[in-house]
Amino acid sequence: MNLTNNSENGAAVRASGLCKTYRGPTGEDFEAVRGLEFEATYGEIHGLLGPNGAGKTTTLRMLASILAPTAGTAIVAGADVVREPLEVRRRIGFLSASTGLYARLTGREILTYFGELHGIPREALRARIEELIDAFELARFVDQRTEGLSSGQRQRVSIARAVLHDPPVLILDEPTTGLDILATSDMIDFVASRRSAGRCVLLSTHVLSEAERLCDRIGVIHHGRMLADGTLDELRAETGREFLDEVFRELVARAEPPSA
Amino acid sequence: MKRSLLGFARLVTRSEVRTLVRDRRAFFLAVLLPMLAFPLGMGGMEWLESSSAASLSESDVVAAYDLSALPDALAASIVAELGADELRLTLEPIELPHPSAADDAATRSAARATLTGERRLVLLADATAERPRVVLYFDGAETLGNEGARRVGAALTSLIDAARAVEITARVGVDPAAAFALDVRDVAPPENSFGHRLGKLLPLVLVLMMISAGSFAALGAFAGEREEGTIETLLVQPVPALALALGKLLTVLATVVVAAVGNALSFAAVTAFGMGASADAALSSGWSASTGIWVGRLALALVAFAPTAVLLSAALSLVSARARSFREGQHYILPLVLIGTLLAAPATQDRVSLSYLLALLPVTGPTLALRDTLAGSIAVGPLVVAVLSSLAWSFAALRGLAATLDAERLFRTRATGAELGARGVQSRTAIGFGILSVAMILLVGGRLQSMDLIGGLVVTLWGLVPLLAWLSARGTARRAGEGVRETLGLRRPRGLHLVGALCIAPALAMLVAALLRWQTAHFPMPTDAGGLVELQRQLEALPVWALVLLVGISPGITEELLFRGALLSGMRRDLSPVKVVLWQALLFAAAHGSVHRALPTALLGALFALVTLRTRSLFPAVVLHAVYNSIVVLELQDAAWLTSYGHAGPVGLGVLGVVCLGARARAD
Repeated sequence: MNLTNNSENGAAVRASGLCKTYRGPTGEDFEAVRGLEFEATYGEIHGLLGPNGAGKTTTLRMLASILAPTAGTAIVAGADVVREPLEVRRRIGFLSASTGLYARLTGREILTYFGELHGIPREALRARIEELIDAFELARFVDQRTEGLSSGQRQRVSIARAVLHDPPVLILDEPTTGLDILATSDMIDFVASRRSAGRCVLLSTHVLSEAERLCDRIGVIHHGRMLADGTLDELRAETGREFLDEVFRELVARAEPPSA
Repeated sequence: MKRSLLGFARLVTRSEVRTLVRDRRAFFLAVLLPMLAFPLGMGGMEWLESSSAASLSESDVVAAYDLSALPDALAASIVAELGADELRLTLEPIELPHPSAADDAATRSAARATLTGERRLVLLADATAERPRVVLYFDGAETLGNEGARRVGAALTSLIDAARAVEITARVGVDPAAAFALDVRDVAPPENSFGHRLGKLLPLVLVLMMISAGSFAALGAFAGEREEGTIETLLVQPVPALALALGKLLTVLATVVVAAVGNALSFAAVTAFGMGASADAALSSGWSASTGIWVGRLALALVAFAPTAVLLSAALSLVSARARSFREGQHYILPLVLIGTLLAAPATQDRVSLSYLLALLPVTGPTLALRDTLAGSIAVGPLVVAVLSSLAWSFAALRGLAATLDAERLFRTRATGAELGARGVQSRTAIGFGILSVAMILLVGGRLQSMDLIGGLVVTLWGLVPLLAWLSARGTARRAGEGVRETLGLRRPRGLHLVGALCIAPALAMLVAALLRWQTAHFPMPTDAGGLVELQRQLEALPVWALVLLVGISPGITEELLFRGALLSGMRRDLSPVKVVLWQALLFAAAHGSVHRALPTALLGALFALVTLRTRSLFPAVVLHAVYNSIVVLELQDAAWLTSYGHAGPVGLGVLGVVCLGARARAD
């Protein structure tokens, strides 16, 4: 990956006018995302904060080029999600709370499979997998089928899978949902380690403490719109509130006057 | 490292196959079941028959007789004939009251009373008729009774024949040896009779085995991937979705091919080396006489069948990709099995030959080609057409492949929130309940009707079916927060719609009759022993009004309550009208459990559903169904009843009816 090149123009992720409208099976439209604008840079953890159904998952899926935007576009790691979706996918790692593993394959087989789909040459792939086994302490269970693993062990395999090709941008959709305390703190350490390696991490969450502790910048999303985007201090200054939950409530109140 | 589409697909296939191979269920469905189906089915049947036949033929049967009404010489010769050792009959002379007519009720009950303990048969002579006769009483519900009757019948028939020959010689002065015998010989080369036998059984079982093996792979590769949450990860890889879908399709295809080859080879082996062939020793020589020719034919047949394997794999993949989970997918496979059976059924019929028209049909053409290739009687023209048309069909099915992993569709429902998801529940539940209802009607209703036809019909129509309707409607109503009456569609209809329903019934009866005639002429289906004719034969004791009430009006009311009432209202909440009509056609056809009438019943189900959707009330469909059924009943009483009025009347009425039914429904 040509990281330096991408770093030069600053933004790792730049979304402009991103919209997504779903059509239901009986014909009615549902606007999940309505004109989202924001930027994230390398060496930064950028959070998307919002309640369930705010449009976070849809936004991240559009940025990962899984879903096509109805309008607008985004540049992710230098590639356009609408025009070069495969290039975007080569440059991102993606992990969500609902990510599963193939139950009847071993961790090593899963890593090899996805490495090959990424087109990593055989020898390089073997070396990279060994590296990841060391980094995430997978050695004890990497040759067992994943159906027998604990949720924490599975999560470590999933993380290794997401960073197999060392992507400059990592997209995490509610990565700590459903994890226990230990696994959550592992995940937080891992996210922080990506920042120190100069990568960009984009993560969605509805856990305020997580956003407060981890994110360099936070975008607040509600009903498919970005209500505010900035560092925690900037958000505090903008709303005049101290704690993030108050900040969030203030922003929602402004967006929806009580009369509405 | 750049890979081609196929290169990526190969990676996916390797991973999918690895997953499948590690699943014992997949091994069972793809390898074991197809290979064991024939050996177990044929061998088991044969073993059962031979073992029970052996024990039967070894057992003694006690027969009582009273032949005092016959001339002494005749009675003595009969007793001598029956006393032969190899018949294993123990004869006991008894005395019964002499009958006035042997099948008089009193004699019958006296004979029945005599059948006690070990005694299985009673022979009673009757000299009151024009010719002396011997009446054999036995209990047809008993195995030994049947066996004894068979032995006595065989022994006495030869005695009667011999007596007749003597009589003819005496009267006409002809030597009985001058009479001629008819000897039927099959001159087909043994390999052809072998192939013919193989070809009649193989295609249907083959198609079913291919579907059962392929469906497991397809459900795992498409629906299972959604259920386990791995689909999102897969779609975010830098690989075109088409390559992923292609890799999965190749996995399904591999499974289907393994099942097909295993099934075909095991059938060939069973027929050639033993179990199936012992019934007909010529067959095993059919195999050994020309193994070479025969292996060639099997290979050619499988090659001709290859496009169908692709078609089935593609169909299974497309269907599985619609499902959110393994379980939901299984609901969708059932219709596919029914369609596959329907399309492969003609190959089991000797009367159906591979015409150019049939060669165009998917599955039907290739199964017929497979059959005729094995029998060595295939015509090149239809074979080529069958192969080409099945290639075209599979190509058409493959075009849908790219859409199977379309993220926009896969992630739509979940993203639009809980409400749409919850609404999907109504139709899924209705379809699941519909399948359950069909199974209950076929199993429970069928069982009841086999015990007692009229009572069983009454209990099914007025007990089981309304109960199922009420249960289903109650669930749907509760989830929708409305009343059961409303769910069942018991709204006041427009008078115009009722008149319309009444008017199209005669034309519908004519149309169905014409459809059945067409089907018999062009696309014969196995006729079933059940069906209306049999029903009518058993019900002929009933007066016409009772028949109309039982078989005409009752199903019109209760079947409509279940199908167009409870099930339809669950389905139409979140399925498009086209899907609702298709499901209704399918379930209604399945509930009638008749392959022969599958096409007409599907048509009726679709039409009743259309009428209900259009009129937004259940009553027009009830009227239409009841009147249509009653017309069919009356026609069975007097075949010319409807046609005696000519075609113009019903057609004219039908047009009028369609216009009436087209009128807008009553507003809410």
